[in-house]
Amino acid sequence: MKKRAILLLAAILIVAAALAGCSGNSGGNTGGNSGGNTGETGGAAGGDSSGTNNAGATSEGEGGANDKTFTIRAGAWFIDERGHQVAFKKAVEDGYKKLYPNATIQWDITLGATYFDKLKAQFASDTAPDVTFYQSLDYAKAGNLMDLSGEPWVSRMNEAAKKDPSLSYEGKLYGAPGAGNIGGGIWYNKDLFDKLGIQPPKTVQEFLDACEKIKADGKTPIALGFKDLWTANMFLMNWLQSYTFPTDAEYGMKLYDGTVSFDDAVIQKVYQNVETMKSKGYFNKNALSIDWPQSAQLFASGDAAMIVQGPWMPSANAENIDKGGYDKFQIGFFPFMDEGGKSSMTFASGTGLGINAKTKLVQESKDLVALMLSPEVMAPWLEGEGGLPMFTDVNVKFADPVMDTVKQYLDGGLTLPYGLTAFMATSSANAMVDVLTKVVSGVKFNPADLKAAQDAMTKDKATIVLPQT
Amino acid sequence: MNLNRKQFMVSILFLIPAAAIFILFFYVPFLQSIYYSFTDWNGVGKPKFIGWANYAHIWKDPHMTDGLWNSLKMAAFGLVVQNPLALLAAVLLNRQFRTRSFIRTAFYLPVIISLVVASVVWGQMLQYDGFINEVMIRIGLESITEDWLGNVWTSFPAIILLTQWQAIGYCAIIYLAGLQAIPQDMYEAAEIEGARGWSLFRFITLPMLMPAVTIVLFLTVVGSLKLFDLPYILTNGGPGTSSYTLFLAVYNAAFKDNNYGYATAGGIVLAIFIVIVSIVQLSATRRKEVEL
Amino acid sequence: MNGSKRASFGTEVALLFVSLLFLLPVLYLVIMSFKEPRIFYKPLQLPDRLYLDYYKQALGVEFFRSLFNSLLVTVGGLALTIFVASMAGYVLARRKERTFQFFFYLFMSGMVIPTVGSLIPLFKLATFLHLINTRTLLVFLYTAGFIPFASFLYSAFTKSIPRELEESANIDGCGSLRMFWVIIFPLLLPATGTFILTNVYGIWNDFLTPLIFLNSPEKMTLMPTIVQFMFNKQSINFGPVFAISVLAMLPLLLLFVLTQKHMLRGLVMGSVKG
Repeated sequence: MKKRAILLLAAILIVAAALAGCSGNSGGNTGGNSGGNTGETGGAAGGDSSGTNNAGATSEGEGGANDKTFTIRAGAWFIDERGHQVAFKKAVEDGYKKLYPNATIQWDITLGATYFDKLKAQFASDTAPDVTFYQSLDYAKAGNLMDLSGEPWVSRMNEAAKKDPSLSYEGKLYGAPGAGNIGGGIWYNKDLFDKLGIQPPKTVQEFLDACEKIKADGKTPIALGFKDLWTANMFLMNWLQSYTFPTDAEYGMKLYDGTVSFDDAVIQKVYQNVETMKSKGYFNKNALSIDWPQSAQLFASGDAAMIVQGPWMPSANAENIDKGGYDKFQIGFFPFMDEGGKSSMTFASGTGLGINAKTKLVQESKDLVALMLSPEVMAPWLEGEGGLPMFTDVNVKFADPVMDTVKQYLDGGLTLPYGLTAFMATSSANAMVDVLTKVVSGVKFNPADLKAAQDAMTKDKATIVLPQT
Repeated sequence: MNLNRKQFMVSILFLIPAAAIFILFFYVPFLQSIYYSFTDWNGVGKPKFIGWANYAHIWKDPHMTDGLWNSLKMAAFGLVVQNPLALLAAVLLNRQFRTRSFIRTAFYLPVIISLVVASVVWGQMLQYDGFINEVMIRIGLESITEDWLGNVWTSFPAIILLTQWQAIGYCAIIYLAGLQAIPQDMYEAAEIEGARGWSLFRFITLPMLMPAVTIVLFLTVVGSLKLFDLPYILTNGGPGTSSYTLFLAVYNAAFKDNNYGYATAGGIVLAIFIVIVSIVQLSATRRKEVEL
Repeated sequence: MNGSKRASFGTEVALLFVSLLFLLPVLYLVIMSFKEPRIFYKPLQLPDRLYLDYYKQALGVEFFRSLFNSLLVTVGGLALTIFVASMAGYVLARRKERTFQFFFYLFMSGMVIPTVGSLIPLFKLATFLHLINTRTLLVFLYTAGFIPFASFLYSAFTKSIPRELEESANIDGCGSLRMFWVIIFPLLLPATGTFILTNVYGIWNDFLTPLIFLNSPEKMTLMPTIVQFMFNKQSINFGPVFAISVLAMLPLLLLFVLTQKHMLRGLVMGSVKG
């Protein structure tokens, strides 16, 4: 197994030894000197090469199928120390022990976006985990993921899951749905809104009026944490979607094929809205230098009235209020809207759960995935994530009544399984976000800046995997 | 075998371990990446050969162009401001005084602090309601308080100043080592001949220090062009593209935009820039070395 | 022996002022690690008592484990670099043949070529060598990364060693090596000192390489552990992050305080003159 590593070490040591040996011939006291050096480096380098080779699945089958001893690797970027994540991990481990008493689950956790950098490199070098959560269909396109169309849990998937574009590619299913996520929306401090006599706004004008009232009361209307660029992306794309999809269901396609350009009047309108809000002081002054937990803190403390975030906000907010010792308040929700009061939301599984196409532990991996999808494991985890179930037999009870509001919006309005970004190259979306942060920092909006997004689109169009539902 | 030939072979043996490790773990991957720079590749799947398209796009991409511009500004700042300051610091730190070891420690301390830790501290200090603005308010400068990192006009200058916190000490220590290697009797001899102050510096210190100057200038320029960690952790290039460096643009193209082929092309342009700047700069200081 | 000039009182005061400015962020870091949550976000308030809770949270198994790993790769990377680069730098400075010129420029190019593009090829290489997820790989990567600077440094310092030293020693082929380690290498100690002092933090503080190339938490080094810690605690509870940052900084601080005298005065002066 480790021949090559040993060969390499040997080659280097031979050269070193040749030199050391040579000096040994010609005289006594130097041998110790250079030899000492060689030994030191050899020791440091060689010392840990033994017994460190556990990349890839190591199955050393002994005895019957179910008491084999093996290590299976499971990868994710979100399993941190929050209560529901720890419980999820434990439930999976316990459940797996029942199936394979001698198996060990090795969790490959790298929190945050770096996980994807790593996963990409791992797939490229055949060292990816056996089972992994993922967000991009690129892996399916590249053949890194196993076709799971025939798995027993497929029949349990609900309508939303079947429509989910992040799971299937060219008619085959490559991942199981994780939590059903709304793409994001505006969460507000209901107590504060009631106090100021503000109703959840239906049109942009009402929205701006609400901001004005809040500002007059001495609070920050909207807390932004744009140091985390994904929050800026969420803010921009959700607003754009409400401006475009309700009037033109094909808007995404048009961006894709170029009939609509990135400096389209509708897109400009959204930037102009943001520019107005910035100039009127509706955002926190440190909008660009704090991250999302800090902006969530601002919201929890009652100093900011609204925050644009994902479905985990109610549980995160309750936790923040509790920890920070702030006054409790009821959280509310409404989606972004356009001038005429139209809006659209997205609902999809933000993550897929897939199996490495090259795993040596095929059945073991399938069993692990099935276990993670079982109602007992899935339901408590979804509750913590604020995710809606994607399986017919998983029921989640949410403590916070705001989730009913969310469901009403989902059921009552235009809800799509994909957002605008599905039709854009990642580089274009990122270029659009750059223009947004520039505007939020106080620079006048210049439509010419959107050309960067258009150029990126022209260049990277081939990288887009269009939603296929 | 004649002596010369044998010596040559032995010298080659001296070179082999370093050459082997360097070529294997540095050059081979680098050469492979040159190929990728001509492809459209997202890091997974098969690379598709697309000729010079990646290189052509670099000049249209504000991340790359702003990043390049910022990097050059920073290199200029390094040469004109940071380098003389570091030399001055080293000369002063080489003198005798009671608190010397304390002051030396203070100057060098920032260097040993990781960028992870530095960004934790500076990120907090530069917050809108952080230490620096608080101090400004207390001393009556409320009007110029700023969200330093969240503003297109101040974000990159702030990052340049932050690099100085570490760079001055780093360069000063190399100068200091150089200064201490200058034999004392050279000064004594010169002083007997009547040389004082500036002329001592001009005719003894500076010429003797030239190898150190070469190293420091080189490191300054290359370091500025390769700057990555601070903007990555503190601003991620924002707001807009105001605090990008070329290196950060390359990194983000690879890992944020999934444009692996394009990113390697950017990396190679970066390398070419660094090579040009270093050749110009090295040949300039080499000539100086001879002149002096 | 040391006849450096005395600094004037004014210079000393000015330097003291500047150095306090330099120290400020470090002091801030340390102070923050002792500030209880109540006053944590009041930037100018000093703690009125020593609040140690953050340290209790920071000093866990993962801290000691990653401390050990950092130590391992740091010592390994530095030792291997010094070993191979001192020899290489020496011959690069002394030999004028084309081959050596070529390698000199090859190494120098390593100082300018950014490594960000090489990541995935490196990953493939490491897999091929079965070195993925090993600390050995980090040692090799650091060495490869340091070889340009280190051999440049060694070669620059070699130039200041008079050739007569070697010429007077009776050299045959094998004697060269003996001569190198006995006579030249000790004279190059200032270079070694400079190298260690300027690069030890490079490995210790490295964040990206271990993050990308190591998988198992048992092998992870300090900096990714801090960042992981930061994510877990989230930025709204920064106290423990400050505490673990202080702890991670301490070993290097200690090393520097202990060695600066030797490294800067003793070694440099002594060996160059000797």
